[in-house]
Amino acid sequence: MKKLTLVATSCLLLTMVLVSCTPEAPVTRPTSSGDSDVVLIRVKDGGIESHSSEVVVRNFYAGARAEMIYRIHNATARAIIPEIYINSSANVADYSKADGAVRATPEVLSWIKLPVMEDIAPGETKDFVVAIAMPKGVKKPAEKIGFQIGVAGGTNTLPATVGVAVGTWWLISMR
Amino acid sequence: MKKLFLSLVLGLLLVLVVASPALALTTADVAVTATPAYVTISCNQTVYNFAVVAASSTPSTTTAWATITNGSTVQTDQTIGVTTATWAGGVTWTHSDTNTPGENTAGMVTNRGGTWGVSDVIIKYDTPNYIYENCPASTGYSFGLKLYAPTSFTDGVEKSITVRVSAAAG
Repeated sequence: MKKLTLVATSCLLLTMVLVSCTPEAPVTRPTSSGDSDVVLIRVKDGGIESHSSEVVVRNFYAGARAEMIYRIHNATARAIIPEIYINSSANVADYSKADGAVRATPEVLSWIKLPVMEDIAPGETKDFVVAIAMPKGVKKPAEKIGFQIGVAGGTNTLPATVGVAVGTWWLISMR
Repeated sequence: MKKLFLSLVLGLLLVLVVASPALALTTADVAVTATPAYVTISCNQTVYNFAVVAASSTPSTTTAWATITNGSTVQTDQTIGVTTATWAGGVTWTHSDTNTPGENTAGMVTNRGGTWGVSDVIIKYDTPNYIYENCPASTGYSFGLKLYAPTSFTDGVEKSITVRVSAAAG
């Protein structure tokens, strides 16, 4: 009986230690690695290229924040102010790899944090962070949601200017 | 001793019950990854000037005026739209998303290398239309622009608006 009591006490203590080590409802920074931790964008004369087609966020939940770096390189001969925007008209249902994701509601789109854009000199590269922060205590809108973030190389004011842009899908799976 | 043992076991159970939701929360962190794929388009035209336009006129380029070079390695959906709801300059023009010209209200359509009036696509501000849905990898195309000028103007100041072709994995 003495042994049993000792074992039970140890278990209790161990559990208490585990509980005390549990991180508090985490404002989690995303984990990422290798080539998949940035979206590389290259702005060329008359063109634009993206080296990623989608950003995948897994295990998202109320109170969490997920970020992705958009690394934009200016391969033109002039300074540009690129544009990063929410392409709210894009419907993820049209994306062949949506895998059940539903279109983000205006409420979800309001959680997106777009960066303040800056000039990028010719030949230079700058990082811009796009984030989504789901407020605490909010009910998850769906198991999986999707939206599109667009990037354009910058606009000018000449008449009837034609520009190009690329979009990256964000696919967010909820915990 | 028996009582002590019982209370310890009960305490352990209670802690486990309380602890389990907290432990579940931390089973995995949020993971964010970018999926590698190459999406790229470029356009050989950057500017078109319709010059002086008459009220209710419909000047246009050819339907092969601009060429989109698409070097994407994946299928893409490509949209065409304008980036603002109005045409800038002097008394601004409203851009009509239904291509219905009016007083200081203009519309615009595009055609992808075909014949004007056949399968024209309205160039909208809100919810841009597809110019090429399910565009295969490495497949380019041409397009033109057609203006539907306002039925009347307030001033003769030059107006401008930006047309944007956007590509995303489809």
